[in-house]
Amino acid sequence: MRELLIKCLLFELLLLGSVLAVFMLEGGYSDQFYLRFTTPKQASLILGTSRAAQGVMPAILNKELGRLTKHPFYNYAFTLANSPYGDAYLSSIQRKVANSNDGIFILAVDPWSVATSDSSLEDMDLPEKRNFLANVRHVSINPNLEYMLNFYPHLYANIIGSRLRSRHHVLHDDGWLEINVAMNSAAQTSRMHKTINRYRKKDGNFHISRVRLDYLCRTIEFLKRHGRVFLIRIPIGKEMRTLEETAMPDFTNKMDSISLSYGVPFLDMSTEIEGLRFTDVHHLHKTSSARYSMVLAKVLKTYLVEVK
Amino acid sequence: MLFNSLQFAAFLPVVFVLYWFVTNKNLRLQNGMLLAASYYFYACWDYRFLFLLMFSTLLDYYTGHKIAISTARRQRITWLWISIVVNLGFLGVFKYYNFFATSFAAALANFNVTVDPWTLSVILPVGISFYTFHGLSYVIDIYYGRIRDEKDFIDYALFVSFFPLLVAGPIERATHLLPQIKKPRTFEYARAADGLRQILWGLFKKVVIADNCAEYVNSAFGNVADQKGSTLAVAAVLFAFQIYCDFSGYSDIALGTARLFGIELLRNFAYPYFSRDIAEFWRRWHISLSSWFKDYVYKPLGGSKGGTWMKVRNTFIIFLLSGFWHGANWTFIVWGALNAVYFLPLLLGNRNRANIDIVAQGRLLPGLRDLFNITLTFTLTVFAWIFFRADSLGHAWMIYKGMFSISLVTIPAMPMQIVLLAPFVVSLLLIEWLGRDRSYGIEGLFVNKPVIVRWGFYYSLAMVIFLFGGKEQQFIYFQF
Repeated sequence: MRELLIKCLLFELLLLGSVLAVFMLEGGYSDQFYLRFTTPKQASLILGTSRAAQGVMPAILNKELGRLTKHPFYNYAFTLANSPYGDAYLSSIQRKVANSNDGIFILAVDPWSVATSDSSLEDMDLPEKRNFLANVRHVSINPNLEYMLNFYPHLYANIIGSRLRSRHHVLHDDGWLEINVAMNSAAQTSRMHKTINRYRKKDGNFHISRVRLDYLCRTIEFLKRHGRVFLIRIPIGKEMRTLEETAMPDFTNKMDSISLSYGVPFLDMSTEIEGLRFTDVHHLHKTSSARYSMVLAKVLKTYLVEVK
Repeated sequence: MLFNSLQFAAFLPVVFVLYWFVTNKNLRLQNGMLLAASYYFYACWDYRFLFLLMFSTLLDYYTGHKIAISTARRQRITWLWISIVVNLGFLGVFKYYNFFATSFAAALANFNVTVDPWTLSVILPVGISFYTFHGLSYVIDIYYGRIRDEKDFIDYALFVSFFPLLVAGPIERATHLLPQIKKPRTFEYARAADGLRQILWGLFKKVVIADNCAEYVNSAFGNVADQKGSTLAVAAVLFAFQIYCDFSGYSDIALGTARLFGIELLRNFAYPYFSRDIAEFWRRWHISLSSWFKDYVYKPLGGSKGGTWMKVRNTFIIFLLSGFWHGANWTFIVWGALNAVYFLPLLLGNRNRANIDIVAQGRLLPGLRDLFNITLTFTLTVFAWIFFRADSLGHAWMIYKGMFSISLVTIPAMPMQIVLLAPFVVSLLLIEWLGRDRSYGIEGLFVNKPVIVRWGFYYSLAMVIFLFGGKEQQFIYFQF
């Protein structure tokens, strides 16, 4: 009997070792989020949805800001489905923020990130409550079994496969999500139409949500205890900008008002930079992400120098 | 607690250690611990239904005892009927009441009588069809004098609730399981190792084949209108593999788990997709249910002793009951009836026992005739499974209509997951074909090879389960 138990134990150890090795192989090629839950707690974060995940490059901010920032930036932005402002995202941010008071936090905002399809939705009804951000308790552990066992969306074989196949996306060590898609005119136009049509469908249903605005304010309050906070609006294509203005025309006013109330700058650069390229109509292409991050760094520098 | 969950992976070793290391000196204590573990296992779904299970256990224990001590035939019949009526009454309320109420209202609507049926908003207690049949077989066997009543309540309760078989069978018989429960068990290394092998094989079938098939099938049958005929045809074939691997995988895990505790359960599957006719298929598919109906319904009805009409009648009754046992939906009844229709020519031609041996025994490959018969039987089965899988008769009709359209001859949707699945399905068929004279696919595979080969095989199989396991799905038969 003991022989069987020992053999089983050995076999299980062998398996467990292999499982962990496979998880360690996940280098950001198969899952767009996993690595963010494997890095240590961070003192300076870039937050928001996929626009920020793809559009703001921590490496460039770190390089441009140099000594003005004591802690390197880390991109902890996800997607609109997972990280609109709400309880789930705030809880996850609270778990990820390191215990310091001199960090810098960049909160990317857009109308959709503070909206819901039903304005009467209460806190407990927010749809992202069932997603991983609300349910992954440990966000700084490597390998992160909690995420991998409960929320990894593909076959685990994909971890090995995606290292061998062409890389549609790469999640970098600093949390920046690089997307590689064909940028010829036809492909770009097709993606743009798809995105616009998808958002047009939302258009009539989505409203700025009192609950989400409240959570944005709570997030700002929490982060102010850990450093300086900036609200930014990332550049988007003209068609998307028009759509957003039609759908939620009072968004900018609301952000200005929050900016004033909490004493945090609101840097709306959604229309200021010429010649940016988008993969669809609201995600910056990686070359433009670099350019925008550079511009953002320069603007941030003016604020940070003033303080010094 | 699913067999393919981490919770079960933690539960099983704990019970194993308690069973063989802590309570092994005292049979009563050992059975008591196993019963407590079984109740915990059941309560993990919904502890409220534990009371229903306990009530059913008490009822059959008591009525069985009353039948045993009653000398007057009238009294014995009364106790038997009390058990049957109460057991089937619970099953009727929880499983069939809404079906009857809505079907009755629909029937009245045909005569322009509008009735708003009063339906129950209850969930079906998991395993109720299985433990009800356990209990019924026990009481009926006592009535017919095949067994004596069990005096020890814990032993009897363990017979009903032994956790490997509690929620989806095999449907055990008191004559087979109770004697094993009453006898002290000794640990046998070979048997336990065999149990672990069977668990591993069951997990492969469930997690790799069934769960991956389920994603394709759910997507195709969930949106029939948008699918090509070829995609629906592939989904129908994959559903045949899904249901086989889901249920036989479950049974393999149940049998393997029981073996770890020194207990042999009834075999439930014997490679049904290698059957050469429908009669053989039903001797090889869900064997414990088929034999239950044969012993407790078919034979008491006269079996095949009467004339042709009686044989046909009894066959239809069995198949319809079998369909209805699976669920309260017309789809299951039609599925049962369709199988009865398949069975009819064999019965009338007196060929229903033409294929009772193992196909191509002693040969590597089947002959052309066998291959043709196997393919034909499989095709008929796939065709019938559509009713089993469909949500309603209308849904089934839509699937058939969509499938037999001009788009049947187009290239079906082939997501990467299905392309990756193909070699595993082929491996499954190959391994089961080569091991068709064994009780499960890999029973004899590499057993006599050096340890490095054996461990290499088990390790590879376990890694395939980990790397290619589909999204966790409930076992299909839990809903019955």
